[in-house]
Amino acid sequence: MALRLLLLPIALATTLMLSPLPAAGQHGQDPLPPQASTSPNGANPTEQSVTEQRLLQQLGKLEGRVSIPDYKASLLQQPQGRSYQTFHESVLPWLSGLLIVLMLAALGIFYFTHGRVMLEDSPMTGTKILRFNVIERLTHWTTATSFIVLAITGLNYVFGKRLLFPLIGPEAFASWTHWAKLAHNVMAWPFMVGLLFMVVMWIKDNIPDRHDVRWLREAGGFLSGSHPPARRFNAGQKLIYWSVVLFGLTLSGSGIVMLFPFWSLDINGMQWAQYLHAGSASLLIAIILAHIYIGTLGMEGAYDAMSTGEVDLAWARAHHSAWLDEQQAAARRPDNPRPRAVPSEVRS
Amino acid sequence: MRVILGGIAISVTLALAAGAAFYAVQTPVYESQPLPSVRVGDPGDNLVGSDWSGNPGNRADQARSNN
Repeated sequence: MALRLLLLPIALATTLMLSPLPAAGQHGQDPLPPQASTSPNGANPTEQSVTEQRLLQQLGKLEGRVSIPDYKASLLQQPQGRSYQTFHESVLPWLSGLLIVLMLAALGIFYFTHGRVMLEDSPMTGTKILRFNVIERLTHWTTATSFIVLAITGLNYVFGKRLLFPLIGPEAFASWTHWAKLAHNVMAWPFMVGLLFMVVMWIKDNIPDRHDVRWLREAGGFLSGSHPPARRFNAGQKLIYWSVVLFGLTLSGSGIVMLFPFWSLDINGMQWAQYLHAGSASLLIAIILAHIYIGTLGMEGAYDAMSTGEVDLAWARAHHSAWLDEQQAAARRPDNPRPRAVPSEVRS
Repeated sequence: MRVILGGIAISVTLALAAGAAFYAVQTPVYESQPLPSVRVGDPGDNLVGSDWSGNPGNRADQARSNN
């Protein structure tokens, strides 16, 4: 009897637990599945509710509410974001890649068809003239060093995951990208300092003058067969200079905005900064490739100007005859205040 | 060649100085944007660092007023 009394609650509990099983087993066989969205009168209460697409068209963006201080997290979608994604993921890689590849191809074709620009009709004299002083050369190489690092690490943003990632794998790519990002952020500062020095030092020598028209008309002498006169910088160098100033300042401004995200701009402003930064960088990288080519492989004697600071008198006569005349006239003046900076320093 | 090495040295020095300055002035997001609605009794080193006073100060008021 005692045993029956003990078993009774267990039997009741088991019955209660197992009783829903038959109903659950029939759930999948219901001829009409339960319709949570259907009201008792048969109407769909969400049928007339506004769709996500219509909201996006009407409001321009989809926005919610958040309880965290970062209010930007409340913005779910906006058309500008999609445009930016298209730019970043397809337009930019193609545009940037094409610019760089086309420039390299053009330089290669030029080199193999025209060869190096030599001083054929005026051999080197062995007499040197100072073209760039030490401050100018240090500024050039400081800016050049930082630009090369910035270009390589910047291109990693665009091409890294497409070209480098498959080659070196996720771990190495993650480490490289982490350090590349840090290097990009800090090397931006020497670049900006160097750029400011360049603007101040060389702006007066890069103002267009009457020689530039002829230089451009003769394509630097390639069409006429003789070197057109030029002052300290010819029209080609001036184009490089103003490109560096224009795109360098654009890169600096947009870069500072991105170094301090959302400090002065909202999400659309940040995306515009990225458009400007990436576009300017792509153009400037292509232009600097041409500058590096002509300053090293492309022209005899050009590299000396930025390494030792001195060029041969014959080179100066061929490429910058107006500048050489000015320097020699200045050296002959009795009140010359800086005899070491002008051809009085000329030595054999 | 010396002037090229000099340029490299200057750029690296300026970059290191910029990096050090950034490191000195940057604050982690959990300090610059503390959540006013969350109070962790003993947050531990992994959340706010060993020097965390427990008082978010003006930043918490500012964040609260932004909301």
